[in-house]
Order: sequence, then C-alpha cells, then structure tokens
Amino acid sequence: MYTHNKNHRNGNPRKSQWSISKDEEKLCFDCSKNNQWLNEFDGWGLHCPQGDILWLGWTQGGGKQTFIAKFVCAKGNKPNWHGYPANHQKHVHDIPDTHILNKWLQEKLIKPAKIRKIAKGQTCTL
Amino acid sequence: MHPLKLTIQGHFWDSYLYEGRLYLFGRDGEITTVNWRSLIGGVKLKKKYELALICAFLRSDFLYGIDLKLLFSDSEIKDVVMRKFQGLSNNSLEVSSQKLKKHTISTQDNPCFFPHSDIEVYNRNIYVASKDGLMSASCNKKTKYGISSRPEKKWDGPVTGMSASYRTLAIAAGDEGLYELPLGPDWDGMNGDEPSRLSDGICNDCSWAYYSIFGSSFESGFLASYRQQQDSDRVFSREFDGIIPAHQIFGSRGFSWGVHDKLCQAVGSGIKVVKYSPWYDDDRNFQEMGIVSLEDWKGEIVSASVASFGVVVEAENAIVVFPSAGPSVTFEGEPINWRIFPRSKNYENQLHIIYDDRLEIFSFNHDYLVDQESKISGVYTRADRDRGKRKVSINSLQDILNN
Repeated sequence: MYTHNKNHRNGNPRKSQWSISKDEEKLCFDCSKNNQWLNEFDGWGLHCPQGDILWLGWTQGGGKQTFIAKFVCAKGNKPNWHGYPANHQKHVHDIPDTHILNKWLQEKLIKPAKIRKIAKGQTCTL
Repeated sequence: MHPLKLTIQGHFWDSYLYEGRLYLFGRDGEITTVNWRSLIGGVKLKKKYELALICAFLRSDFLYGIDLKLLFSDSEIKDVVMRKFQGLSNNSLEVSSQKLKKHTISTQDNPCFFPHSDIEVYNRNIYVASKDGLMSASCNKKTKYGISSRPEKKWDGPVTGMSASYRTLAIAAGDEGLYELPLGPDWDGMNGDEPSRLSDGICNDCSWAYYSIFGSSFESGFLASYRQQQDSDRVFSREFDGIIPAHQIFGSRGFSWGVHDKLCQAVGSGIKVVKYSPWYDDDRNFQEMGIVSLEDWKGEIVSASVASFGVVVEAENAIVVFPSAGPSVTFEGEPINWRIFPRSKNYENQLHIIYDDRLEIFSFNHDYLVDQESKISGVYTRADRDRGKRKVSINSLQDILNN
C-alpha cells in the first residue's frame, strides 16, 4: 500500500515538497518497486516518465530542486509506504544505498559524475 | 608554466597513487593495480627530459629540497630547469589500454563497496567508504592481488569523505557529523575500536590541518582543533581542544575547506585564505592571508581542496586550479572524479581527473620556485616537512626504478 504524505505537499517549510502530481508520485514508487530499488523498509526512486530523469521536488524551505525520491515503509502487519523528495546533500540517510547507486550506474540511468556527487553528498544538478 | 599531462585510456571510477603503485577502480567493478614506476620508466623520451619526468611523476619532493634553494636562486639554473619541464610538456604522454596491460600487476574483482564515496591509503591499508560504511583491506605488496580480496568491515555508519594521518582516520558522515577512528598502535586499524564523534555539525568532507581536522560543509564548516603534547619520553600525542566554527575563523559563513596551513572559504569575490599555525597560543594561529580572485568562476562549488601547487576548486562543469604562482588553469567538463595527494611524499604535485573514457594526470611544477612562507594559494611545502631530514639522492631514472 502507498499513502501520500500531506506534509510533503502542504508547503511546510520544514519538509521537502513534491513538485510532481500525486499520480506521478505513485508511478515513481511503482517504478522503484518494479526495478527493485526498494529494500525491506526503505528505497529510492527517480521520476522518468519519458525515459529522461526530471526534477520531482524541492528540498526543505524551497532551497534546491531534487530529482531523487526516498520511500519509507512503516513497520506493521501490512507494508505501508510513503515517500518524499530526498535531500542527499543535507541528510546522509537520503543518499541511496550503494547497491542502488550501482544499479543506476550500470543501467546508465544517471551519469557517473552525478553518481559520485550523490554518493559524496555534493551539489548535483540534472 | 603549463602543467604536464599524462593520459591513461579506460573507464575508471577512481584512482590512487601510493608507494609506486597506481590503483585504478574501474566502473565495471574491477580494480587494476599498475606498476607506476615501470610505467613512467617505460616512457620513451630524450635523456635531457629525464629530470623533469622524474620530478613530475615519481619524486615531487626532489626539487623542494632545502639544499636546492640556493641553486634555484641562480636565475640561469632556474631557466634551464624550467626549459626542461617546458620541453617535456611538448611531448604527448599517452598510455593506451594495451600499454597499461604491460605494466599491470593484477586485475581483480572489487571486493569492497562500489561505487564508493571515497578511498584512502594509510600504512599499506586501503580504506574504502560509502553510505553503507567503511571497509579496510591490506595493500602491502604481499597479497596475490594489489588489494587483499578479504576486506574487513570497520564501521556501519555512513561515510561521505575521509582522510588519514597521525594514526587516525578522520571520517565525514554528513549530518551525523565528524568522527575519528584510531588506526591502532601498529597502525593497522585492526584493533577493533569504534569511531568516536568529534562534532555533530554537518560534515561532507574532511582534511588534516596539521594535527587538527577541518570538517568541510556546504553550510559552512568547522575546525576540530587539537594541541600537540610531548611527554617526558619525547613522544607526541594529540589533545582535543574543541570545535571552532568556520565563521569564527573567517568572520563570515560559506562553503569552507582546509589542508595543513591553508584554510579557505568561498566568498562573493573569491576565496578567502587564512593561514593556520596551531603552535601559537595567540591570534597568530589564524592569520588572514588575502583573497584569491575568482575571475574564471564556473558556478556553484561542488568540492574543493588545497595542494602544494595551489587551491583546487570543482565547479559544476569545470575544475579550476588557482596555482601558487601564475594565472588560474581551467579544466573544462564535468569530471567523474578527481583527486590530489597533499600528504604524499612523492606525488603531491599531481592532480588526477577522471573523465568518461580516460584518466588525465596533471603534474604542476611551478611551486618549487615559490616562496613557501608567503604564498597564499597552496599549502606550505618543504622536502623535510613532517618527515625528518630525508637525504635526497638520485642519480638517474634507473635509481628510482631499482628502489
């Protein structure tokens, strides 16, 4: 099950904000699931409706655009996922796991230079 | 003077030069260990360029020798040496994948995290880090492959950057802060210690500023300040003194970084440079040196460091070197990775830049002639710095290849 978290759509300056629609957010999650970019309790996603990766949201306080989504699963009887635009520069746990970065690298989804910047928590534009 | 360039063809993720071996991390998950001395020794050049070749790629310390200061004060001798570097720069130094194979010691599957965020080699151990933690493996020239195929996991915490010195590995862990891991009495890092946290401030990268550690961050940064103590047996130890925020050092906020005696901060008009001398107890420990102008600025800073030859800044689509003498040098294009070796004995004049299909190794050779006390851009360098008074004795390239 996937739930949209309103805190990431209500302009809350302390939360990152989606710039894509709710439908696109759900498609982004489905894409992560289909590509096995999800672990048991967390995962990462990209918004690439036509093949090219596009921006999907803004970091806290409208600071910077971001193209990586982070998904988390609440522990319970049934998996209940929600997601938010990741801020890999500010929050080290928003950096995708190494095996996921490797998939993005091997599948040539993201240029190697961008992968390095994400892994090191550096400024990274599309 | 233009830097010299040596190009190695291939698809790499990272490179590291240590004790005569070049470790090449391939993007397909392999590690190639290359005999660097034989690779350079195999470069076919006229005999008259041998000195320049040795100093550029094998022994950066040679021309920094105190004894050579007097020699370089003679302008004729200086001109002759400079002409040799200039002449060498007119030769194309290209290494094809076939030639690389000839000098390859081993090729192996990468047994560590990949793609890693950073690597560091210290006392013949390689440390490989990623968001998933920290691993170490020996690279002591006694294992079948260049790097031991049985690495040990040292820590589960996230790592975005690291740097080793003073028997300690400094670890940048993003918003989890700055940590340090003792590398043990035998310098092998195998004593089972957990890293301890020095600061909970955001730390994206870290470097050694003498025996202190500078934590670099996009928000600002800080210095984990240490004092050096000497006991009755004249054994030195480091004593933690506290955290000094970057805005207290620079009087302003902004992306900051530092290596050895040079602490830097990006300000509107350029890079503010402060000279750090931790042995003073008064305001001489932070002395403002001036601002390096950013005429060739290429947008937001991605990362930066300081080498002996100058300040190196990575912008979104270029790397810019602000040398200790002469105009800035711009390397256009978005690099996959880059690395300098500010604590190396023999390779501190090198800048490695990895592009899509090659590794470009630049060697800067102007700094031997620069007054080290007054220079603004670049760390203070002397052949005997931190190393005891090593005697430099080289008669030919063959001497180096035989060592």
